Amino acid sequence: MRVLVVEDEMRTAGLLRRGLSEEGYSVDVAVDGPDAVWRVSEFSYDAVVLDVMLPGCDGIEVCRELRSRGRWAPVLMLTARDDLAARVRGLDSGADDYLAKPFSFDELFARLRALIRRGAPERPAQLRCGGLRLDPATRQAWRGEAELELSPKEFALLELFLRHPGQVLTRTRILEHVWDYTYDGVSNVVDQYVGYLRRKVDRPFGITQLETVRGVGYRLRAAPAAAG
Amino acid sequence: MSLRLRLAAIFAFGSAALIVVAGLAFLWQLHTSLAAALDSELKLRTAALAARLASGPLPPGSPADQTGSHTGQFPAAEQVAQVLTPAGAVVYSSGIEGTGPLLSPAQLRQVAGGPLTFTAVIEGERLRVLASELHRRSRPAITVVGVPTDVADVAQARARLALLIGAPPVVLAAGLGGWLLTGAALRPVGRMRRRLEEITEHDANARLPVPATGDEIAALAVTMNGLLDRLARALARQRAFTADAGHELRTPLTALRAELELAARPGKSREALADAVRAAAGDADRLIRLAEDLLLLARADEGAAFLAPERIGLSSELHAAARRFASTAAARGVAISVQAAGQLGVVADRGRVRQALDNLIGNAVRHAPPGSTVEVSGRCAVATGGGGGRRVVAVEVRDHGPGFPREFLPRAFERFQRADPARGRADGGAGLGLAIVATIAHAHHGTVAAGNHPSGGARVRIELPADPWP
Repeated sequence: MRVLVVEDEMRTAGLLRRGLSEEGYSVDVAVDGPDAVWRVSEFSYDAVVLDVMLPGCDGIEVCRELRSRGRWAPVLMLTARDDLAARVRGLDSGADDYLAKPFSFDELFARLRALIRRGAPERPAQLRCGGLRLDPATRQAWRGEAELELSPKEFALLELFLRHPGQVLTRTRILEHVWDYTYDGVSNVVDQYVGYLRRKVDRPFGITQLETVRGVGYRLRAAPAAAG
Repeated sequence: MSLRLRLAAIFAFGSAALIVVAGLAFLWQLHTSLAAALDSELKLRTAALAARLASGPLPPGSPADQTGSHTGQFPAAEQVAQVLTPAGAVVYSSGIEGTGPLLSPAQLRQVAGGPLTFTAVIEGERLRVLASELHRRSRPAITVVGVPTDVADVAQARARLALLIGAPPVVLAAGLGGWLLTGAALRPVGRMRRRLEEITEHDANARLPVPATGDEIAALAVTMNGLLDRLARALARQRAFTADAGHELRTPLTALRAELELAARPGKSREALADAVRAAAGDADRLIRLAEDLLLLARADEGAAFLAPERIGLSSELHAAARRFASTAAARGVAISVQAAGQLGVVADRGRVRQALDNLIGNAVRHAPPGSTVEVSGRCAVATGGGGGRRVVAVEVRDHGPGFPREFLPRAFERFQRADPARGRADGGAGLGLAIVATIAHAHHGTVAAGNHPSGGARVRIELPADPWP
């Protein structure tokens, strides 16, 4: 397993390299943001240990940059600041886990094992599909550059579709994911909300992306078709 | 007692006092003018009586059947008049039933000295009486004329009654008015107090609404908001300092913990363990330095007297500081030159001055390129910049390195600021060196300035007040 350590403090970087090597990882060290971005782009790492406080651009920007370049290696953030806002910002930027300094090597190793176990599938912080874009952290959604005004249920529905682009989602599945177990309302609530969503997402733009699959359910097409 | 109640009471008492004084003055004025009117009437009547006496014998006295209406000028019918001999015998009497003289023997004697005016109750009626001696050709006589005072008495009684009935409601109204007015004036103050009560140390952005009245209340709100601003800034600085200090402490702690944890793993050689112990000791040193720096800053912030001043010569301190860095500098191929003119006496804390000099010379040696010289100079001077011609000792440390980055200069003396973040951390500096120099200089009522020399290299100048009795 190959791990990239991004840490500008030489002493901590050296210790991380030593500890991880002793655990059997092969370790590279990057001392600043641009170096880290370049290394992750050039080589394939199984995990990145990223210090938040870096000279120049900080770890959060580095993480965002990696994700925007389509690099999905799991990122474990290290920071000497443990305030809530910093943790939230770090995780929302696309980091997968968070560890406060001073850390224990045992915990670091356990977290790295867990991250590597999950693999590196595409898991963008912002979801995109055919002109639609949705940010779960800020709870905003856009069609192109136009921001969409969605109710909480419509937002959840759109998020579900964006997480499964091109797949047919049955009414039952939608009901299970967007409404909770205790929901006991009208049976056509899914059709009703898909209708609301279309009125905001498709119709004002004259396109059809959210289509009905007769007798099965609904599908978000990867590319929208002109309304007809 | 609330301010409102006090003001209302003051209003009430004030108006009561005013009414009493004005009322008394009015009653007195009324009394004197009425008396004057009666007196002039009496004089006229005396003159008329005298004229009648002169013209011939008087008709016999009329009985008191003429008493009647008292309206208007005193009608002749009800006039009381007597003519007496100087001995007191009644010569003529009109307007009264009795025949006795109206004057007592004592009053008779007084009349001999001049006209006498007095008020008497005659036959149940208050009369104003004027007795005067009449000098007739034949023999002297005394005329006594009287007019009833009841009209004047009634007028005065009415005025008194009006005052007694009218004053209490006016006093009450004044008190109530004071109460209402003060309440209205103080209402914004109450609102402001309630708002202030709601503000806690957590909502640093809470401010008082400033009324658009432009009055004293608005000024108070503005002043209060200014205070809140200053407190919020101080709190923010304190929080930032704590956060930065926490961050700086965690860095060596992280290394120390990682080092010890790695050393504790099995299969370490003796040399590896010895290396780990050395490295851990280095981390501990860094932590100690950092803790001491933070403690110094915290003490200076508290304003506690953390200095132990004594009279020292900076000249020898400069040479001593240069000697302390001699080996470090030599290892980097850097020379240190010291130029000190005279004793350079100051009253200062020797330990703190050494600390400041070490920070400055240490920075300079670290940034000086090999083969260059770090120049340390000290001399007596006149304070630069607003010192009012104060005599100071100026110490300047200059290197021939890259100098301070331009954007760093404005915050060179702020805490946790590094000229070059990457290099600073590699050197183990927490960005407190110059902040401590500034704190020490300011604690000695001195100044500090950082800049770049025109021909390159950083220079920092400290000015400390010169020892006034060298």
